[in-house]
Amino acid sequence: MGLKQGGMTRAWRTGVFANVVLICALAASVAVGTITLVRQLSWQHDLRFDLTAERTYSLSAADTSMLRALEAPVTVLFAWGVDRDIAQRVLDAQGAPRADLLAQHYRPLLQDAARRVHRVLEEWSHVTPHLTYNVIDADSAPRELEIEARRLGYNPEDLLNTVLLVQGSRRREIPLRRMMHAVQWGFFPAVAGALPRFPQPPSSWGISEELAPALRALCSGSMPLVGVVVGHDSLIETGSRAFADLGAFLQSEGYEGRALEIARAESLLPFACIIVPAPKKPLSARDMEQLRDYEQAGGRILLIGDPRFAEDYARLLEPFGTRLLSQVVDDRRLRDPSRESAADLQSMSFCVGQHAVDSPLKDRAALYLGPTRPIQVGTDHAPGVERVPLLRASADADAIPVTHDSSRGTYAAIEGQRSKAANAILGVAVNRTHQGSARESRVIVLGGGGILSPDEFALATHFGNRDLLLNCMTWLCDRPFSPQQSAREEARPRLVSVAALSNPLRWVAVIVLPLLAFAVAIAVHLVRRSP
Amino acid sequence: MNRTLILFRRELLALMAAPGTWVLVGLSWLWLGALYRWQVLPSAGHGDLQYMLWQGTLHAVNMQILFVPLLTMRCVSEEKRSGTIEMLVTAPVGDHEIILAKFAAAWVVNILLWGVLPLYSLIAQQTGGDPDWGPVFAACFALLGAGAVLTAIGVFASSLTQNQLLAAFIGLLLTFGFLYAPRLVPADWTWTQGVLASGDLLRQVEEAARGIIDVVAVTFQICMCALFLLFATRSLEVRKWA
Repeated sequence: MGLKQGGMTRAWRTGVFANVVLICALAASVAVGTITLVRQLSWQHDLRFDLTAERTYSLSAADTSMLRALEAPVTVLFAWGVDRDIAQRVLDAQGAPRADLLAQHYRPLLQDAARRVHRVLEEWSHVTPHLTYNVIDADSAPRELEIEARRLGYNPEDLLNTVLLVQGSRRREIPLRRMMHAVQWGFFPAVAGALPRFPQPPSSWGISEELAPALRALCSGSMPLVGVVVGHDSLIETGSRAFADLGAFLQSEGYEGRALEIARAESLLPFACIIVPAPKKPLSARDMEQLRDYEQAGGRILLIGDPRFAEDYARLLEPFGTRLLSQVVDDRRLRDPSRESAADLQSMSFCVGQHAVDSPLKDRAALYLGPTRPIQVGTDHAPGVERVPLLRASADADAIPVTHDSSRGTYAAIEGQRSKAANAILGVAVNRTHQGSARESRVIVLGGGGILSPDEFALATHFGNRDLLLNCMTWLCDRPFSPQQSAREEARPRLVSVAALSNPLRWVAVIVLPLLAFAVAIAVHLVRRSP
Repeated sequence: MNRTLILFRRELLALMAAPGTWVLVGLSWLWLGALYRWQVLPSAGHGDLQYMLWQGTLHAVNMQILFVPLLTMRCVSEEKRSGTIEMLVTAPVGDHEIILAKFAAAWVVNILLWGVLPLYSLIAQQTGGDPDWGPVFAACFALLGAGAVLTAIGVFASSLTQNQLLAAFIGLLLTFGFLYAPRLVPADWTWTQGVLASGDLLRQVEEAARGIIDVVAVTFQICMCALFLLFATRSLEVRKWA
């Protein structure tokens, strides 16, 4: 008190206050500066330590380097909620979606998906200052979604359950369903007494696996040009849904898909890769010649065969000692059990695993090939050719010669000539270097057109088809393989039985420990009161 | 340093010898235990230990909003009210040493408040669970950091007034604001989101409870702790000189 009244003038006091305020402001600035500096450092070096046993939150080196290399801002918008497709599954007799079923069965599924996507985006945002994200629960905040959608020029419904990556004027849309492997959405019939099919969560998730390549594609700048051969009544023709799906897929992966009529093309050389999707009408000799010239100049081609159509690309494949046989593979072990024909092949066991294209998918992803032609890999080939089988049938497979009816798009199997075709090759990757060409030519031949079937490819019920095609494109276009092209193992949940834990927890945590603390309080009180 | 240690020992003994401290500890253990048993643990089936740890850690932080101001309200204000502060500030110890000792003692008691949390994981392990100890360690580390920041805020609030209740109220407002202000900002104020995101203590604890220790978060916690202790020291100094 003496000090306070010891003749301090008003100016002195003001000076002290000013001094204190100045020191505090200076200290606050130093603190903010230190935090900012460390934050800046964290963009360049990994300053986060993942202590989980499974390293659940550790990004792969490829993802980290990709994110650190971002120079322009990327905005990610993810809106999730009940969309039109889901609403259709729970209609009542009046045709209105049932809110109770949506809340009970679909919201938790979507919520889990949203939480996982959110987590990946959050991890990403820690690595780079150039990535910002916004996750919107469209059911709770429809207005927010509407504002964002209008700002970006979208219809709100189109953004639902889609991750939208935006960098400047470039955009990538990745549907949530693509990240939910083999999810069963189920349905609830409006008719009384009809049995519902309950939705089942995905067997695995592929969130980083889908988002990382899309971001890489978005930021890569130039997009390799991919020609899709049309004009031969192929499996994929301009204007068809399959063409639109393939185009969207290529774009989302950073390729520019373009319809290619070989006869009208001035040159095939601008194309980084050409896809020939099982032409119903055989390619003309001139087309084949152009394709061969392209291959010899170091071109990259994906050839799809189909037992329904006669085209076997013989002239193109001859130097590689490879031939698409006019047969169909009948494999009871690798067939699609839901289909009648044993020639409709679908399995997780096709991949051989000796090549970068198929090894990430071996025993991990189901492929739907449909009716498939076997591929003969003979000994007679040009020098310097390398051939690696990608897909094989099982040891129990048979091969049945077929006659093609290209006009109707069917084939007739000649059952009497069935022969053993154990481990028949169904897909092969070949490459060779030509004299005078600096670039190695690469060709992938797949014996089944089912790989491009829109239902399996775009509706994402068989994710292996997309992955195989992506890996084919990656190898053909000489792009770096990302570790994300193979599924990451999910961290196992650590569960504890509620029945076993609840009693000890109640006794120790709720009764014994608090009582102990209260007993100490009483003891302390008594000790203090005693003289 | 020696003087700080002596002061710290004196403060800690004073806190430990106060029945109120143990009542507070007992209440916080009861609170955490009851929440863990009846809210975090599912009613039947199996509980996800990782999720339970995450929830428990958040409860432990939120609990501190109420308990830390009650713990720290006496720190400086009681000395001011009783007049013992004059003896203390005229003793051969620096203001910063007084504040540091009071803070450290309160922090130790603060650790006691939530210190039972890893015990729940141990109980889960004894009953057949397999907790991931990495996230448990990270959660404790984050609670240490967050506890330090909130205790420093409480000490600062206590240094502002000689009325204990007022100190507790100011502490309550400050701790609540510090934890929740970054989340109360409207989503369309995008420019503030980035700034506030790095100062979101609750988010830092959430992350740690998932098993991540972020050096940026630790730096933030150390800086904020130092800053509020400096404010408290200056507040004491102002009283002395003004």
